[in-house]
Amino acid sequence: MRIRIQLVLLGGLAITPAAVFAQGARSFRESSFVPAASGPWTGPQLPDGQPDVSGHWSNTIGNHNNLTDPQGPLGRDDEAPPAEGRQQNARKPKPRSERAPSRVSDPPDGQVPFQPWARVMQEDFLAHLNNPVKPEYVEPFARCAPGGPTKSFMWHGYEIRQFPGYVLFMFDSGNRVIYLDGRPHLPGNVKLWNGDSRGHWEGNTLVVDTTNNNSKSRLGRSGEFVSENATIQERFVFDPAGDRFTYNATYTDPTVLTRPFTVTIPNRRVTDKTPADDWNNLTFPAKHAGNEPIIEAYERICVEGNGDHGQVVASESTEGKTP
Amino acid sequence: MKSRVLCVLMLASALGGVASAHHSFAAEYDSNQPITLSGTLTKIEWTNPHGWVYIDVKGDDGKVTNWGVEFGSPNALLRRGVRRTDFPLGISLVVKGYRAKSGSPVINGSSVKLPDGRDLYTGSSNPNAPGAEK
Amino acid sequence: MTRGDTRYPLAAMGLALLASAVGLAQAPPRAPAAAKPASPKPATDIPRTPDGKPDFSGIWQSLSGADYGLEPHPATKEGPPGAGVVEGNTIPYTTGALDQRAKNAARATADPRLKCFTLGTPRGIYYAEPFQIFQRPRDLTLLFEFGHPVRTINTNATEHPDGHIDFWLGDSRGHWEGDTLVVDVTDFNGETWLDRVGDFNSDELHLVEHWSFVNRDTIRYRATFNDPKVYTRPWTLDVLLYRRLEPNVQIIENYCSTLDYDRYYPYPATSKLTGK
Repeated sequence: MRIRIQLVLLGGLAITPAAVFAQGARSFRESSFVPAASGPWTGPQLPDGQPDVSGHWSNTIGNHNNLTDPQGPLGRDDEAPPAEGRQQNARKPKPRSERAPSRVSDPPDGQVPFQPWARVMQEDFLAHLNNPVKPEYVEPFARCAPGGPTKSFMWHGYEIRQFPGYVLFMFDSGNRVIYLDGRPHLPGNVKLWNGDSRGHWEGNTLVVDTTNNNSKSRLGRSGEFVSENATIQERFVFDPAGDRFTYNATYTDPTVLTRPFTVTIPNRRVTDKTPADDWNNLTFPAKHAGNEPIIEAYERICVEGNGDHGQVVASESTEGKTP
Repeated sequence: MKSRVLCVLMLASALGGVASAHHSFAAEYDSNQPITLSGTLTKIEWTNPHGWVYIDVKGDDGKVTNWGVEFGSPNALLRRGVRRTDFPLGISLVVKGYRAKSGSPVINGSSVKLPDGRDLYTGSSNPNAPGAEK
Repeated sequence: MTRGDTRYPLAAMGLALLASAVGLAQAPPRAPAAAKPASPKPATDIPRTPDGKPDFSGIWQSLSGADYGLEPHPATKEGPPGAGVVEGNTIPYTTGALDQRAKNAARATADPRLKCFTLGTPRGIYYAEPFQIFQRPRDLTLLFEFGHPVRTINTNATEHPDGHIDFWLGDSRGHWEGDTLVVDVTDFNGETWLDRVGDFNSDELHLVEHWSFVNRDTIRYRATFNDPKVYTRPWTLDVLLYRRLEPNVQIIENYCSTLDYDRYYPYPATSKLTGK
């Protein structure tokens, strides 16, 4: 059975659907938030005793353009073309005080505490982001590489599934498995895009130790990075009311940093009531005979390698047109 | 779909190449090089995070060049009821977009006009998107 | 057990009616699949979920070598010999499809596996790397080591979406018939191969899978292919999946598509900027 689309051109109604989508988007765009506090879990539980936090979620600050000023310049692509059919003035950036704080919640200055040589590397990447004349300046995310343990929470909506002994995170690009059964980490020379995670629940908080990081994904288009010696302590603090959680990740890496730093990202649940906005809510209504709304995500497969990447021409590697 | 009227506008916004891309627009495309191409659809790749159409474009010298046009997410189109089968090969398309910085025959598509006159253009369905995602 | 004929048709029908009665969705009506498979001998002592269903959770891997060629084949420089996993040994291609298969085989370098494209369904099941099944009442989550994609089999009485969608892994809706999980898979994109020698399907494939325990550490996986664009009649493959029993065995992330470029990140070892 194929669906036939009958389209009617009524340009004057451009405002309406934009507003409809904007409503949904606004509830997922905050400039301030109260981090959830660790404590007991009083919400629903799964049969194995885990807090039930399964479902669809999304972060409420924005994308990974800019780690330390996530709603600032680079928070939107300043070199993007004006959208046809719209007014020329895209939103003017708000003053810094009205924008979301740095995702780096510690140290208090909101900056990654780089050793001087690492700051040079980070600024070099940023300087070449829109002029990637070498392969290393093409952000790996553009090639469908996973986002990394933390940057994965700075993109589209994602899904959490829980099972006895496991918590699964499913992102657009890549998946994370948190092992709850106390098994040892993989051997240290097995380095992974999303690391190797071992966790346990403490009340409302999923405490996770993530090692074996290949750290190739960086922490934003702004270029912040750590080395493959980095270890990450993560705390996913779930508000027992069920609608929100705060992600915290403390990075320790003597190779790159002068001291550890912490990233903090607020997240909200996505439900069938969340307007589909191609960003936070990527689900579709499931087809079924019942009356209750069921939302489902379709397969999350990223396929690239079928075009140029910036100034780096496709012929430089085995990238090429798909068959 | 509740309203046919909403259809085309949401479709338009989804089709815009700058929606939900995995890469920075400015890293690959030049907003100072807008271009309009007319051609015949030779191939379509309906892949996430963005799809591609390829069109044969005849230049003034009569030479035919195959251009790649990058679009937004097929899932976004699907959400609006548009599928790959709505683009049969061989149809004529008029595509507007911005050239790749590399100079290759590749553009980031911002609008497409189908043979029946339907103009699918970027209306940006998500003005408050985090960073107006590119 | 013999293949192809239903031994206990009334029992099978009764189970199907029981499934309907308790509100489980049947697969949407499609072109009829092949003759019903023999009901597996009921396995004893199999793991079960709290709601009584067989629990397929675990890490599984085929030893069939089917990825080297679904049909019987002798050894080649590229792979070991195999007695085949196709019932009746031959995949019933149309003449045109046979030509396409020959073209595929001649260009083995065109195997999408080599670009680390998602193997698709069912190739990911019998591929040479393991996958993990996570099971809960509403769905089964299959995490494949190769490429690390996730396939969801919905067992929550939902149906295929309307119309055709191009998925790498297909759209999977499953229901239980006794201790067998029957999965209806549609919405293929036709971009995947079925093995290394170019066996393939089109985007019109309609696949029906039967998953059942032989014993607690072995699953029988049967898949019936219906694809009039490519095959002259339905056909079935049959493989066993073995539970990986090594202590602390885990699916290790394998984003193989990154291997072509990961040396550049986060910066190449030869970068002069580090000042070290």
